[in-house]
Amino acid sequence: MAESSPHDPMQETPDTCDTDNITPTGQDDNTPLLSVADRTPSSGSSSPEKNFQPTFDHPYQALRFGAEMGLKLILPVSICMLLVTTAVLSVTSFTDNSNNEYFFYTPFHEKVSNPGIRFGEALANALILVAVVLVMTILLVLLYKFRCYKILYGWMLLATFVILFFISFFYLLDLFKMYDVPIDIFTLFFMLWNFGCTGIAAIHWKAPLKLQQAYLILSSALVSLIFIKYLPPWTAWVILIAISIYDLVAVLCPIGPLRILVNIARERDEQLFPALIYSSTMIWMIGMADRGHTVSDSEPSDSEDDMGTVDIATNGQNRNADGKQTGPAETQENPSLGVFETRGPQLGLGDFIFYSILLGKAAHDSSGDFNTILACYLAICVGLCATLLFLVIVQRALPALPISITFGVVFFFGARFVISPFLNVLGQNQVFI
Amino acid sequence: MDLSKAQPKEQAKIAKKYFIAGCFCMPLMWLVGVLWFIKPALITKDPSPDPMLKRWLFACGIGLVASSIVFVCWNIIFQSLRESFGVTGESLTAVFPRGRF
Repeated sequence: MAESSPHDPMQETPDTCDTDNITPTGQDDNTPLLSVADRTPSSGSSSPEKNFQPTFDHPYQALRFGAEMGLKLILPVSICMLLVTTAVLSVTSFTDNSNNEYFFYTPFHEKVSNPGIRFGEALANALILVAVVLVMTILLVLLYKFRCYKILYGWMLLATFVILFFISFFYLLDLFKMYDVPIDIFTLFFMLWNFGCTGIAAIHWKAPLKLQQAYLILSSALVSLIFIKYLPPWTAWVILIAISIYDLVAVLCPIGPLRILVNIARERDEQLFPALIYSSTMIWMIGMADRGHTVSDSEPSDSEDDMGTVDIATNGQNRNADGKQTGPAETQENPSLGVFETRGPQLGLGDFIFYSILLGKAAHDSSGDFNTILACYLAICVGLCATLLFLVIVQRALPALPISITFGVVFFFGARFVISPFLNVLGQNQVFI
Repeated sequence: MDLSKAQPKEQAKIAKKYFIAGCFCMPLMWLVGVLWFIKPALITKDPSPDPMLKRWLFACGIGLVASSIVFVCWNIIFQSLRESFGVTGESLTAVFPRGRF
Protein backbone atom coordinates (compact mmCIF):
# COMPACT_ATOMS: atom_id res chain seq x y z
CA MET A 1 0.00 0.00 0.00
CA ALA A 2 1.49 3.17 -1.03
CA GLU A 3 0.78 4.93 2.13
CA SER A 4 2.62 8.02 2.64
CA SER A 5 4.15 8.21 5.99
CA PRO A 6 3.44 11.55 7.38
CA HIS A 7 6.98 12.49 7.75
CA ASP A 8 7.95 11.45 4.36
CA PRO A 9 6.22 13.56 1.89
CA MET A 10 5.69 11.83 -1.28
CA GLN A 11 8.07 12.38 -4.00
CA GLU A 12 6.37 13.79 -6.89
CA THR A 13 7.20 13.30 -10.38
CA PRO A 14 9.43 15.97 -11.54
CA ASP A 15 6.89 17.42 -13.79
CA THR A 16 4.81 18.58 -11.07
CA CYS A 17 5.51 21.45 -9.25
CA ASP A 18 3.36 21.50 -6.50
CA THR A 19 4.51 22.45 -3.25
CA ASP A 20 1.74 24.14 -1.78
CA ASN A 21 3.01 26.17 0.74
CA ILE A 22 1.20 26.29 3.78
CA THR A 23 2.06 28.22 6.67
CA PRO A 24 1.52 27.26 10.15
CA THR A 25 -1.76 25.93 10.86
CA GLY A 26 -4.11 28.35 12.27
CA GLN A 27 -5.77 25.61 14.07
CA ASP A 28 -3.92 25.29 17.23
CA ASP A 29 -2.14 28.44 17.99
CA ASN A 30 -4.53 30.59 16.13
CA THR A 31 -1.85 31.31 13.68
CA PRO A 32 -3.23 32.02 10.33
CA LEU A 33 -2.87 29.55 7.65
CA LEU A 34 -1.54 31.27 4.76
CA SER A 35 -1.82 29.26 1.82
CA VAL A 36 0.68 29.79 -0.62
CA ALA A 37 0.94 27.66 -3.48
CA ASP A 38 3.96 27.67 -5.46
CA ARG A 39 3.86 26.17 -8.73
CA THR A 40 6.60 26.31 -11.09
CA PRO A 41 7.23 23.92 -13.78
CA SER A 42 10.87 23.95 -12.99
CA SER A 43 11.26 21.89 -9.97
CA GLY A 44 14.89 21.53 -10.56
CA SER A 45 14.58 17.93 -11.36
CA SER A 46 16.44 16.11 -13.95
CA SER A 47 13.41 15.58 -16.04
CA PRO A 48 12.96 17.55 -19.14
CA GLU A 49 11.30 20.79 -18.39
CA LYS A 50 7.88 20.85 -19.66
CA ASN A 51 6.07 23.86 -20.53
CA PHE A 52 2.96 23.54 -18.53
CA GLN A 53 1.02 26.30 -20.04
CA PRO A 54 -2.42 25.13 -20.86
CA THR A 55 -3.13 25.05 -24.53
CA PHE A 56 -6.49 26.15 -25.69
CA ASP A 57 -7.87 26.07 -29.16
CA HIS A 58 -10.38 28.73 -28.59
CA PRO A 59 -10.28 31.71 -26.26
CA TYR A 60 -13.61 30.58 -24.91
CA GLN A 61 -11.89 27.55 -23.49
CA ALA A 62 -9.40 29.67 -21.66
CA LEU A 63 -12.16 31.73 -20.16
CA ARG A 64 -14.09 28.69 -19.16
CA PHE A 65 -11.08 27.04 -17.65
CA GLY A 66 -10.30 30.13 -15.63
CA ALA A 67 -13.88 30.37 -14.49
CA GLU A 68 -13.95 26.75 -13.43
CA MET A 69 -10.80 27.19 -11.46
CA GLY A 70 -12.24 30.19 -9.75
CA LEU A 71 -15.45 28.39 -8.96
CA LYS A 72 -13.64 25.48 -7.47
CA LEU A 73 -12.35 27.82 -4.83
CA ILE A 74 -15.24 30.19 -4.47
CA LEU A 75 -17.66 27.39 -3.74
CA PRO A 76 -15.90 26.00 -0.66
CA VAL A 77 -15.09 29.48 0.60
CA SER A 78 -18.74 30.39 0.24
CA ILE A 79 -19.84 27.29 2.08
CA CYS A 80 -17.51 28.05 4.94
CA MET A 81 -18.68 31.64 5.11
CA LEU A 82 -22.28 30.53 4.96
CA LEU A 83 -21.77 28.16 7.86
CA VAL A 84 -20.11 30.81 9.97
CA THR A 85 -22.62 33.51 9.15
CA THR A 86 -25.66 31.38 9.85
CA ALA A 87 -24.10 30.16 13.07
CA VAL A 88 -23.33 33.69 14.20
CA LEU A 89 -26.76 34.98 13.37
CA SER A 90 -28.82 32.13 14.70
CA VAL A 91 -27.04 30.98 17.83
CA THR A 92 -26.48 33.99 19.99
CA SER A 93 -24.10 32.28 22.36
CA PHE A 94 -21.55 32.02 19.59
CA THR A 95 -20.93 35.73 19.85
CA ASP A 96 -21.78 36.24 23.46
CA ASN A 97 -18.63 36.82 25.40
CA SER A 98 -20.12 38.18 28.58
CA ASN A 99 -17.84 35.96 30.61
CA ASN A 100 -15.00 38.05 29.30
CA GLU A 101 -12.83 35.20 28.30
CA TYR A 102 -10.16 36.30 25.98
CA PHE A 103 -7.03 34.88 24.50
CA PHE A 104 -4.01 35.46 26.62
CA TYR A 105 -2.32 37.24 23.77
CA THR A 106 -4.96 39.90 23.43
CA PRO A 107 -4.41 41.43 26.82
CA PHE A 108 -6.33 44.61 26.14
CA HIS A 109 -10.01 43.98 26.41
CA GLU A 110 -11.42 47.20 25.05
CA LYS A 111 -13.53 48.06 28.00
CA VAL A 112 -12.85 51.74 27.66
CA SER A 113 -15.31 54.13 26.12
CA ASN A 114 -12.86 56.54 24.56
CA PRO A 115 -12.67 55.48 20.91
CA GLY A 116 -9.10 56.63 20.53
CA ILE A 117 -7.89 54.49 23.40
CA ARG A 118 -10.06 51.66 22.17
CA PHE A 119 -8.48 51.78 18.78
CA GLY A 120 -5.06 51.95 20.35
CA GLU A 121 -5.81 48.84 22.37
CA ALA A 122 -7.07 47.06 19.29
CA LEU A 123 -3.91 47.98 17.46
CA ALA A 124 -1.77 46.74 20.30
CA ASN A 125 -3.66 43.45 20.38
CA ALA A 126 -3.26 43.08 16.66
CA LEU A 127 0.45 43.69 16.80
CA ILE A 128 0.88 41.14 19.55
CA LEU A 129 -1.06 38.61 17.54
CA VAL A 130 0.94 39.25 14.39
CA ALA A 131 4.11 38.80 16.42
CA VAL A 132 2.80 35.49 17.73
CA VAL A 133 1.96 34.40 14.22
CA LEU A 134 5.39 35.39 13.02
CA VAL A 135 7.08 33.42 15.76
CA MET A 136 4.94 30.40 14.99
CA THR A 137 5.69 30.65 11.31
CA ILE A 138 9.40 30.90 11.93
CA LEU A 139 9.18 27.89 14.19
CA LEU A 140 7.37 26.00 11.48
CA VAL A 141 9.94 26.97 8.88
CA LEU A 142 12.76 25.89 11.14
CA LEU A 143 11.14 22.58 11.87
CA TYR A 144 10.54 22.05 8.21
CA LYS A 145 14.04 23.08 7.30
CA PHE A 146 15.60 20.64 9.70
CA ARG A 147 13.28 17.91 8.54
CA CYS A 148 11.56 17.36 11.85
CA TYR A 149 8.64 15.87 10.07
CA LYS A 150 7.53 13.88 13.05
CA ILE A 151 7.14 16.96 15.20
CA LEU A 152 5.36 18.77 12.43
CA TYR A 153 3.00 15.97 11.79
CA GLY A 154 2.34 15.59 15.49
CA TRP A 155 1.58 19.28 15.72
CA MET A 156 -0.90 19.09 12.86
CA LEU A 157 -2.51 16.05 14.33
CA LEU A 158 -2.84 17.69 17.72
CA ALA A 159 -4.35 20.78 16.17
CA THR A 160 -6.98 18.89 14.23
CA PHE A 161 -7.65 16.73 17.25
CA VAL A 162 -8.31 19.72 19.46
CA ILE A 163 -10.50 21.38 16.89
CA LEU A 164 -12.51 18.38 15.94
CA PHE A 165 -13.12 17.18 19.43
CA PHE A 166 -13.00 19.92 22.00
CA ILE A 167 -14.08 22.94 20.05
CA SER A 168 -16.80 21.12 18.21
CA PHE A 169 -17.99 19.71 21.55
CA PHE A 170 -18.58 23.16 22.94
CA TYR A 171 -20.25 24.37 19.82
CA LEU A 172 -22.42 21.31 19.54
CA LEU A 173 -23.51 21.80 23.12
CA ASP A 174 -24.32 25.44 22.47
CA LEU A 175 -26.27 24.47 19.40
CA PHE A 176 -28.38 22.00 21.31
CA LYS A 177 -28.96 24.45 24.10
CA MET A 178 -30.09 27.05 21.63
CA TYR A 179 -32.64 24.80 20.05
CA ASP A 180 -33.82 23.20 23.29
CA VAL A 181 -32.95 19.71 22.23
CA PRO A 182 -32.63 17.34 25.16
CA ILE A 183 -29.72 15.15 24.26
CA ASP A 184 -28.53 12.35 26.38
CA ILE A 185 -24.92 11.91 27.23
CA PHE A 186 -24.51 8.72 25.22
CA THR A 187 -25.78 10.22 22.00
CA LEU A 188 -23.78 13.36 22.47
CA PHE A 189 -20.47 11.66 23.05
CA PHE A 190 -21.24 9.06 20.45
CA MET A 191 -21.84 11.72 17.81
CA LEU A 192 -18.80 13.64 18.89
CA TRP A 193 -16.60 10.57 18.84
CA ASN A 194 -17.78 9.63 15.38
CA PHE A 195 -17.43 13.11 14.02
CA GLY A 196 -13.98 13.59 15.45
CA CYS A 197 -12.49 10.27 14.48
CA THR A 198 -13.86 10.35 10.98
CA GLY A 199 -12.51 13.86 10.68
CA ILE A 200 -9.05 12.82 11.68
CA ALA A 201 -9.17 9.91 9.27
CA ALA A 202 -10.49 12.14 6.52
CA ILE A 203 -7.92 14.86 6.94
CA HIS A 204 -4.82 12.90 7.82
CA TRP A 205 -5.42 9.53 6.30
CA LYS A 206 -7.35 8.23 3.36
CA ALA A 207 -10.88 9.25 2.67
CA PRO A 208 -12.96 10.36 -0.24
CA LEU A 209 -11.91 13.79 -1.41
CA LYS A 210 -15.28 15.35 -0.79
CA LEU A 211 -15.22 14.19 2.80
CA GLN A 212 -11.77 15.64 3.34
CA GLN A 213 -12.84 18.92 1.81
CA ALA A 214 -15.96 18.95 3.96
CA TYR A 215 -14.00 18.39 7.13
CA LEU A 216 -11.47 21.06 6.23
CA ILE A 217 -14.29 23.51 5.65
CA LEU A 218 -15.90 22.52 8.94
CA SER A 219 -12.72 22.91 10.93
CA SER A 220 -12.08 26.29 9.34
CA ALA A 221 -15.59 27.35 10.27
CA LEU A 222 -15.05 26.19 13.86
CA VAL A 223 -11.81 28.10 14.19
CA SER A 224 -13.45 31.20 12.74
CA LEU A 225 -16.22 30.92 15.28
CA ILE A 226 -13.69 30.69 18.06
CA PHE A 227 -12.02 33.84 16.85
CA ILE A 228 -15.29 35.67 16.45
CA LYS A 229 -16.31 34.80 19.96
CA TYR A 230 -13.15 35.44 21.87
CA LEU A 231 -11.67 38.46 20.18
CA PRO A 232 -12.67 41.93 21.33
CA PRO A 233 -14.77 43.65 18.68
CA TRP A 234 -12.46 46.30 17.30
CA THR A 235 -9.45 44.04 17.67
CA ALA A 236 -10.90 41.59 15.19
CA TRP A 237 -11.06 44.17 12.45
CA VAL A 238 -7.60 45.51 13.10
CA ILE A 239 -6.26 41.96 13.21
CA LEU A 240 -7.74 41.22 9.82
CA ILE A 241 -5.92 44.14 8.31
CA ALA A 242 -2.72 43.41 10.19
CA ILE A 243 -2.70 39.78 9.17
CA SER A 244 -3.27 40.60 5.54
CA ILE A 245 -0.34 42.98 5.61
CA TYR A 246 1.70 40.28 7.29
CA ASP A 247 0.62 37.81 4.65
CA LEU A 248 1.66 40.15 1.91
CA VAL A 249 5.06 40.69 3.43
CA ALA A 250 5.67 37.11 4.44
CA VAL A 251 4.95 35.72 1.06
CA LEU A 252 6.42 38.28 -1.24
CA CYS A 253 9.40 39.56 0.67
CA PRO A 254 12.60 37.61 0.08
CA ILE A 255 13.20 37.06 3.77
CA GLY A 256 9.57 36.33 4.46
CA PRO A 257 9.14 33.02 6.28
CA LEU A 258 6.47 31.81 3.95
CA ARG A 259 8.57 32.48 0.95
CA ILE A 260 11.42 30.54 2.51
CA LEU A 261 9.02 27.71 3.18
CA VAL A 262 7.92 27.67 -0.42
CA ASN A 263 11.47 27.66 -1.65
CA ILE A 264 12.53 24.85 0.61
CA ALA A 265 9.56 22.81 -0.45
CA ARG A 266 10.29 23.52 -4.03
CA GLU A 267 13.91 22.49 -3.67
CA ARG A 268 12.92 19.28 -2.06
CA ASP A 269 10.20 18.74 -4.55
CA GLU A 270 7.75 17.99 -1.84
CA GLN A 271 4.23 18.74 -1.05
CA LEU A 272 3.56 20.69 2.02
CA PHE A 273 1.25 19.46 4.69
CA PRO A 274 -1.74 18.18 2.84
CA ALA A 275 -3.67 18.55 6.03
CA LEU A 276 -3.46 22.30 5.91
CA ILE A 277 -4.59 23.06 2.47
CA TYR A 278 -7.84 22.65 0.76
CA SER A 279 -7.43 20.96 -2.58
CA SER A 280 -10.20 20.99 -5.01
CA THR A 281 -9.12 17.79 -6.59
CA MET A 282 -6.63 15.20 -5.70
CA ILE A 283 -5.67 12.11 -7.46
CA TRP A 284 -3.70 9.39 -5.85
CA MET A 285 -1.39 7.96 -8.29
CA ILE A 286 0.57 4.84 -7.91
CA GLY A 287 3.37 5.30 -10.20
CA MET A 288 6.99 5.67 -10.63
CA ALA A 289 8.64 8.42 -8.79
CA ASP A 290 11.71 7.71 -10.76
CA ARG A 291 12.67 10.80 -12.54
CA GLY A 292 13.97 9.07 -15.55
CA HIS A 293 10.54 8.01 -16.51
CA THR A 294 8.85 11.27 -16.57
CA VAL A 295 6.21 11.98 -18.94
CA SER A 296 6.89 13.28 -22.28
CA ASP A 297 5.10 16.03 -23.99
CA SER A 298 2.68 13.71 -25.52
CA GLU A 299 -0.15 14.56 -23.27
CA PRO A 300 -0.72 18.23 -23.22
CA SER A 301 -4.17 17.79 -21.89
CA ASP A 302 -2.88 16.72 -18.56
CA SER A 303 -0.79 19.72 -18.16
CA GLU A 304 -3.65 22.07 -17.91
CA ASP A 305 -3.21 22.38 -14.24
CA ASP A 306 -0.07 24.24 -14.45
CA MET A 307 -1.40 27.50 -13.45
CA GLY A 308 0.20 29.43 -10.82
CA THR A 309 -1.64 29.86 -7.73
CA VAL A 310 -1.50 31.73 -4.79
CA ASP A 311 -2.55 29.68 -2.16
CA ILE A 312 -3.68 28.00 -5.06
CA ALA A 313 -1.59 25.36 -6.39
CA THR A 314 -2.32 23.46 -9.35
CA ASN A 315 0.04 20.77 -9.78
CA GLY A 316 -0.02 19.75 -13.25
CA GLN A 317 1.16 16.33 -13.30
CA ASN A 318 0.96 14.05 -16.06
CA ARG A 319 -0.94 11.43 -14.44
CA ASN A 320 -1.03 8.02 -15.64
CA ALA A 321 1.24 8.98 -18.37
CA ASP A 322 4.01 8.33 -15.95
CA GLY A 323 2.88 4.95 -14.99
CA LYS A 324 1.69 3.99 -18.35
CA GLN A 325 4.72 4.95 -20.19
CA THR A 326 7.00 3.02 -17.99
CA GLY A 327 4.84 0.04 -18.40
CA PRO A 328 2.59 -1.69 -15.96
CA ALA A 329 5.32 -3.99 -14.79
CA GLU A 330 7.29 -1.20 -13.39
CA THR A 331 4.39 0.20 -11.58
CA GLN A 332 3.96 -3.07 -9.86
CA GLU A 333 7.54 -3.19 -8.82
CA ASN A 334 7.37 -0.19 -6.65
CA PRO A 335 3.97 -0.31 -5.13
CA SER A 336 5.14 1.70 -2.23
CA LEU A 337 5.92 4.73 -4.28
CA GLY A 338 2.86 6.74 -4.50
CA VAL A 339 2.60 10.07 -6.00
CA PHE A 340 0.19 12.69 -5.11
CA GLU A 341 -1.19 14.28 -8.08
CA THR A 342 -3.05 17.35 -7.34
CA ARG A 343 -5.06 19.11 -9.83
CA GLY A 344 -7.16 22.05 -9.46
CA PRO A 345 -6.55 24.99 -7.28
CA GLN A 346 -5.69 24.75 -3.66
CA LEU A 347 -6.24 27.29 -1.00
CA GLY A 348 -4.80 27.39 2.46
CA LEU A 349 -7.06 26.97 5.41
CA GLY A 350 -5.95 30.24 6.92
CA ASP A 351 -7.61 32.08 4.12
CA PHE A 352 -10.84 30.24 4.72
CA ILE A 353 -10.62 31.16 8.36
CA PHE A 354 -10.00 34.84 7.85
CA TYR A 355 -12.61 35.26 5.15
CA SER A 356 -15.14 33.63 7.43
CA ILE A 357 -14.08 35.79 10.35
CA LEU A 358 -14.63 38.85 8.22
CA LEU A 359 -18.06 37.81 7.14
CA GLY A 360 -19.05 36.59 10.58
CA LYS A 361 -18.02 39.86 12.16
CA ALA A 362 -19.81 41.75 9.41
CA ALA A 363 -22.94 39.80 10.15
CA HIS A 364 -22.68 40.28 13.88
CA ASP A 365 -21.58 43.88 14.07
CA SER A 366 -24.24 45.07 11.73
CA SER A 367 -26.84 43.04 13.60
CA GLY A 368 -27.63 40.86 10.66
CA ASP A 369 -28.05 43.56 8.08
CA PHE A 370 -28.26 41.75 4.80
CA ASN A 371 -26.90 44.61 2.74
CA THR A 372 -23.68 44.59 4.67
CA ILE A 373 -23.31 40.84 4.56
CA LEU A 374 -23.93 40.72 0.85
CA ALA A 375 -21.55 43.58 0.16
CA CYS A 376 -18.77 41.92 2.13
CA TYR A 377 -19.39 38.55 0.52
CA LEU A 378 -19.22 39.98 -2.96
CA ALA A 379 -16.13 41.94 -2.06
CA ILE A 380 -14.40 38.78 -0.87
CA CYS A 381 -15.36 36.88 -4.01
CA VAL A 382 -14.17 39.66 -6.24
CA GLY A 383 -10.93 39.79 -4.28
CA LEU A 384 -10.45 36.08 -4.68
CA CYS A 385 -11.00 36.27 -8.40
CA ALA A 386 -8.59 39.17 -8.66
CA THR A 387 -6.02 37.16 -6.75
CA LEU A 388 -6.52 34.24 -9.10
CA LEU A 389 -5.98 36.59 -11.98
CA PHE A 390 -2.72 37.81 -10.51
CA LEU A 391 -1.77 34.26 -9.93
CA VAL A 392 -2.15 33.37 -13.55
CA ILE A 393 -0.15 36.37 -14.57
CA VAL A 394 2.65 36.08 -12.06
CA GLN A 395 2.82 32.28 -11.82
CA ARG A 396 4.19 32.34 -8.35
CA ALA A 397 3.08 31.88 -4.83
CA LEU A 398 0.89 34.73 -3.85
CA PRO A 399 -0.94 35.66 -0.69
CA ALA A 400 -4.65 35.24 -0.95
CA LEU A 401 -5.56 37.46 1.95
CA PRO A 402 -4.67 41.05 1.18
CA ILE A 403 -6.90 41.91 -1.74
CA SER A 404 -10.00 40.21 -0.45
CA ILE A 405 -9.63 41.44 3.09
CA THR A 406 -9.05 44.99 1.95
CA PHE A 407 -12.11 44.94 -0.23
CA GLY A 408 -14.08 43.24 2.49
CA VAL A 409 -13.16 45.70 5.20
CA VAL A 410 -13.73 48.70 2.96
CA PHE A 411 -17.10 47.40 1.93
CA PHE A 412 -18.08 46.52 5.46
CA PHE A 413 -17.51 49.99 6.76
CA GLY A 414 -18.91 51.53 3.62
CA ALA A 415 -22.01 49.40 3.69
CA ARG A 416 -22.61 49.71 7.38
CA PHE A 417 -22.23 53.43 7.67
CA VAL A 418 -23.09 54.71 4.24
CA ILE A 419 -24.87 52.31 1.95
CA SER A 420 -27.25 50.72 4.39
CA PRO A 421 -28.61 53.88 5.96
CA PHE A 422 -28.89 55.34 2.49
CA LEU A 423 -30.93 52.38 1.29
CA ASN A 424 -33.04 52.49 4.41
CA VAL A 425 -33.88 56.13 3.90
CA LEU A 426 -34.65 55.48 0.26
CA GLY A 427 -36.92 52.66 1.24
CA GLN A 428 -38.72 54.72 3.81
CA ASN A 429 -39.37 57.47 1.36
CA GLN A 430 -40.23 55.04 -1.40
CA VAL A 431 -37.62 56.30 -3.75
CA PHE A 432 -36.44 53.60 -6.10
CA ILE A 433 -33.18 53.97 -7.88
CA MET B 1 -7.47 10.16 -2.44
CA ASP B 2 -8.79 8.66 -5.55
CA LEU B 3 -9.76 5.04 -5.20
CA SER B 4 -10.00 4.38 -8.85
CA LYS B 5 -6.29 4.86 -9.17
CA ALA B 6 -5.43 2.39 -6.48
CA GLN B 7 -4.84 -1.28 -7.02
CA PRO B 8 -7.67 -3.60 -6.04
CA LYS B 9 -5.57 -5.09 -3.30
CA GLU B 10 -5.05 -1.72 -1.76
CA GLN B 11 -8.70 -0.94 -2.13
CA ALA B 12 -9.50 -4.07 -0.17
CA LYS B 13 -6.96 -3.13 2.47
CA ILE B 14 -8.47 0.29 2.94
CA ALA B 15 -11.95 -1.23 3.08
CA LYS B 16 -10.79 -3.61 5.75
CA LYS B 17 -9.31 -0.79 7.78
CA TYR B 18 -12.55 1.15 7.51
CA PHE B 19 -14.44 -1.84 8.79
CA ILE B 20 -12.12 -2.29 11.73
CA ALA B 21 -12.28 1.40 12.54
CA GLY B 22 -16.04 1.24 12.51
CA CYS B 23 -15.96 -1.51 15.07
CA PHE B 24 -14.81 1.00 17.65
CA CYS B 25 -18.29 2.44 18.02
CA MET B 26 -17.93 4.41 14.82
CA PRO B 27 -20.74 3.63 12.43
CA LEU B 28 -19.90 6.82 10.61
CA MET B 29 -16.79 5.11 9.32
CA TRP B 30 -18.99 2.29 8.12
CA LEU B 31 -21.19 4.78 6.36
CA VAL B 32 -18.22 6.41 4.68
CA GLY B 33 -16.88 2.99 3.76
CA VAL B 34 -20.15 1.91 2.22
CA LEU B 35 -20.59 5.09 0.24
CA TRP B 36 -17.02 5.13 -0.92
CA PHE B 37 -16.59 1.49 -1.85
CA ILE B 38 -19.90 0.95 -3.56
CA LYS B 39 -18.58 2.39 -6.75
CA PRO B 40 -15.29 0.49 -7.07
CA ALA B 41 -16.73 -2.74 -5.76
CA LEU B 42 -20.07 -3.01 -7.45
CA ILE B 43 -20.29 -0.54 -10.26
CA THR B 44 -16.98 -0.33 -12.04
CA LYS B 45 -15.96 -3.41 -13.89
CA ASP B 46 -12.51 -4.18 -12.65
CA PRO B 47 -10.38 -6.52 -14.74
CA SER B 48 -9.04 -8.24 -11.66
CA PRO B 49 -11.10 -7.38 -8.64
CA ASP B 50 -10.18 -8.37 -5.17
CA PRO B 51 -12.79 -10.73 -3.72
CA MET B 52 -12.30 -9.36 -0.24
CA LEU B 53 -13.45 -5.92 -1.28
CA LYS B 54 -17.05 -6.97 -1.68
CA ARG B 55 -16.92 -8.83 1.58
CA TRP B 56 -15.69 -5.84 3.53
CA LEU B 57 -18.23 -3.69 1.79
CA PHE B 58 -21.06 -5.95 2.89
CA ALA B 59 -19.62 -6.17 6.37
CA CYS B 60 -19.64 -2.40 6.61
CA GLY B 61 -23.15 -2.31 5.23
CA ILE B 62 -24.51 -4.77 7.72
CA GLY B 63 -22.75 -3.02 10.57
CA LEU B 64 -24.17 0.27 9.41
CA VAL B 65 -27.74 -0.99 9.27
CA ALA B 66 -27.48 -2.69 12.64
CA SER B 67 -25.97 0.29 14.41
CA SER B 68 -28.43 2.71 12.83
CA ILE B 69 -31.32 0.66 14.10
CA VAL B 70 -29.84 0.62 17.58
CA PHE B 71 -29.14 4.34 17.50
CA VAL B 72 -32.56 5.31 16.28
CA CYS B 73 -34.33 3.03 18.74
CA TRP B 74 -32.34 4.34 21.66
CA ASN B 75 -33.11 7.91 20.71
CA ILE B 76 -36.79 7.25 20.29
CA ILE B 77 -36.92 5.59 23.68
CA PHE B 78 -34.94 8.32 25.35
CA GLN B 79 -36.77 11.26 23.82
CA SER B 80 -40.22 9.95 24.52
CA LEU B 81 -39.66 8.44 27.92
CA ARG B 82 -37.16 10.88 29.29
CA GLU B 83 -39.40 12.39 31.89
CA SER B 84 -40.75 9.13 33.10
CA PHE B 85 -37.31 7.83 33.89
CA GLY B 86 -37.03 10.07 36.87
CA VAL B 87 -33.62 10.39 38.31
CA THR B 88 -31.98 8.17 35.71
CA GLY B 89 -33.39 10.31 32.96
CA GLU B 90 -32.00 13.42 34.52
CA SER B 91 -28.56 11.98 35.00
CA LEU B 92 -28.49 10.85 31.40
CA THR B 93 -29.49 14.16 29.93
CA ALA B 94 -26.66 16.36 28.80
CA VAL B 95 -28.67 19.35 27.72
CA PHE B 96 -31.72 20.49 29.60
CA PRO B 97 -34.18 22.38 27.46
CA ARG B 98 -34.94 25.66 29.11
CA GLY B 99 -37.84 26.66 26.95
CA ARG B 100 -38.51 30.19 25.97
CA PHE B 101 -38.41 32.95 28.46
